[in-house]
Amino acid sequence: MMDVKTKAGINLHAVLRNIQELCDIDETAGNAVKGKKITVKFSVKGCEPMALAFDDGKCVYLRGDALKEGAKGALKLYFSSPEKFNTLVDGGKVTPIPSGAITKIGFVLKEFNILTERLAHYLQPTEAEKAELLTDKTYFKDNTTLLAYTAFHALAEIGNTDPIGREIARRMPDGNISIEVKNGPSIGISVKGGRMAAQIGGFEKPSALMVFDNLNVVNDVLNGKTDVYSAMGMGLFAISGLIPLLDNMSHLLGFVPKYLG
Amino acid sequence: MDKLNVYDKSRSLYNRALKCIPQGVYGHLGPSNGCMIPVDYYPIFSQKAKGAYFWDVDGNKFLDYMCAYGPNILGYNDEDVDKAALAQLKKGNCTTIPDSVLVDFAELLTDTTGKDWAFFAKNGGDVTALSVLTARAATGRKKIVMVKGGYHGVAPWMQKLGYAGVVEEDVGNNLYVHWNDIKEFEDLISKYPGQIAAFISTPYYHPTFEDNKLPAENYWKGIRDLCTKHGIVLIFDDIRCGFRLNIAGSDAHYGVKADLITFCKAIANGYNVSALCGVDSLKGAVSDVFYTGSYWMSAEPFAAGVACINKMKRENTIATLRFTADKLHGGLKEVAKKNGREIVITGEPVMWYMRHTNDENFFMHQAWVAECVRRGVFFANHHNHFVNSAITDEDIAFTLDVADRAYKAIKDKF
Repeated sequence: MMDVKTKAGINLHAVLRNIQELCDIDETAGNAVKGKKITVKFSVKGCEPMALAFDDGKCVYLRGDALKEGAKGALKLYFSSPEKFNTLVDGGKVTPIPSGAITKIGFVLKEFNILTERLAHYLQPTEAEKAELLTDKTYFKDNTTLLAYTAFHALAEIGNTDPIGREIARRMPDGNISIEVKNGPSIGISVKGGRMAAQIGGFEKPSALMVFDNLNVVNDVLNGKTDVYSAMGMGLFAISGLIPLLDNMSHLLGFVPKYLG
Repeated sequence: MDKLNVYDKSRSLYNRALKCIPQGVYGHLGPSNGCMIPVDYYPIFSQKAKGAYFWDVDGNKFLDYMCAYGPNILGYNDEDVDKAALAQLKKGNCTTIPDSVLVDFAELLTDTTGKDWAFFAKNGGDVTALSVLTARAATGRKKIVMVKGGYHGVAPWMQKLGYAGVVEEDVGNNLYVHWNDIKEFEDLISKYPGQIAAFISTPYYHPTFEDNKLPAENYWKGIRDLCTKHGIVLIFDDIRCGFRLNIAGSDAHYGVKADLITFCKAIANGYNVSALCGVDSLKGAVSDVFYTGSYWMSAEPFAAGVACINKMKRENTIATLRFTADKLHGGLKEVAKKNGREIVITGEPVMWYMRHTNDENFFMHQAWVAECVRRGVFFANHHNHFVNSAITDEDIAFTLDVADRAYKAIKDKF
């Protein structure tokens, strides 16, 4: 069963987080925020807040300690429940309570709207669009990379918040997992005391390693066209190191489509 | 000459398998659950087996220290066991009413283990599940205490919350204690008075990925006493250890008498049969449980089991296994030392678990095991190993030579 708080955490820290990379890879998105300097903080009741700091075409995702300093003078958007925030992300009509730099609210209505539309272009193309878009090598790479970033950041949120996910995370030994695509992007997941954190980029000395042979394999796995076990048997996906970390992570990965599907 | 195996036919067959079998090969014999790291160093499909060896479909020969994960105790295709099984097969196997060999096998098993009755099924999980059903039927209680990290099969209650297909209700009556912690068990009894049906555990702690641990002095006596005092059924899950530590069962090995004990793996040297044996006071309860299966009365494995147990008794197989294991471990430690490594061996020697020091995350160990496998010695990365009585001194010498070459192969990487 889907936990609304976990879903909101995923929307904040796995889905909207991607706007950071989106501004770099997508021309329309980059242009939309060119010349803009604004920080938008998202607070959802019961969830860890985050902010997106825009500065002349670039975007930085802020969380935790970085957020405390970085969100000063931000336009703050407060959602009184995870359900309301999830409704908004799913395309519904919800009005948050703005505070802080409210004179900049127009950014949310205009530029930010462009960003979310572009994000949907990469993360949620329609089936009809997908067939054509995926033949474009650049789109394929960006789509797969953003999907992977979303999935593994979502996985960490599930491990920290979902009731069953927390059970799984508690069984994980402390350590760092590097998830790498040969000649491609990498993601790091760290686990300490059953708490998980995801990051862009792997670790220099990981405790466990998960290596995808190429982006096609990542795309197939994330889109459910192949399972990780078969990919592993075929040698397209390799694991090594502290296997209990990876074994439990694979159980968490099984929850990701329930939240993102 | 350092000949390295290649697996072209295995790979080709695996690609065929992927089209019609989930994961290609599912379960612990498959590349994923079997932790074959890296996968291309391992064979996927076997062609034949004899004694201590199996040959893969590419013709590579492997000295097998996994012993089919336990069933191989006398050597693959043991002539005495096969002869008995084949004779029974010709006489009759799967029939509408059971063959008389059912009674022969039950008598032999109860005589051997000192229990009062035997109930047969096919796999280990069939009888661990029956043991819990029996305990609940006998006590009218719901809760089951088990050891964290223990393994009793793959029925939903034996799995963990968060595993695919497992829901909260499946594991809702499970209570967990740490291995060797009698006090934790005592605390649970106080917390759930009159609610605990059974304590189920393997005879010693043999999880994957961890050093294996033997019972502390008086551990089993302490658990036995608590079970007796509080009317809790003591279940020994002897699926993996059964007939490797003591021919009478591992409860006897550790000086206690379990109320229920489960056997499988080594019981018939690879023929598919498992058994739950128990004390007389639980015979009524197990009779009340509705439990049956299409092939549970097949006579061929019963005949194999009779031949296997008799041969193990006749040849004192347990002593042979221990002698082989000790010799092998001594040699492996020496070879490791010679190569500047330290190998750690834990658990019962005949079912040892091994890892290396200064290798916290197993990267070096995995590389060494893989190099051994592609030179013809089949170890597993993170599961306990097994010896069988067909292993010779020459086989051990071959193992040590391969181990040495494997260390040299990884010398520059770790």
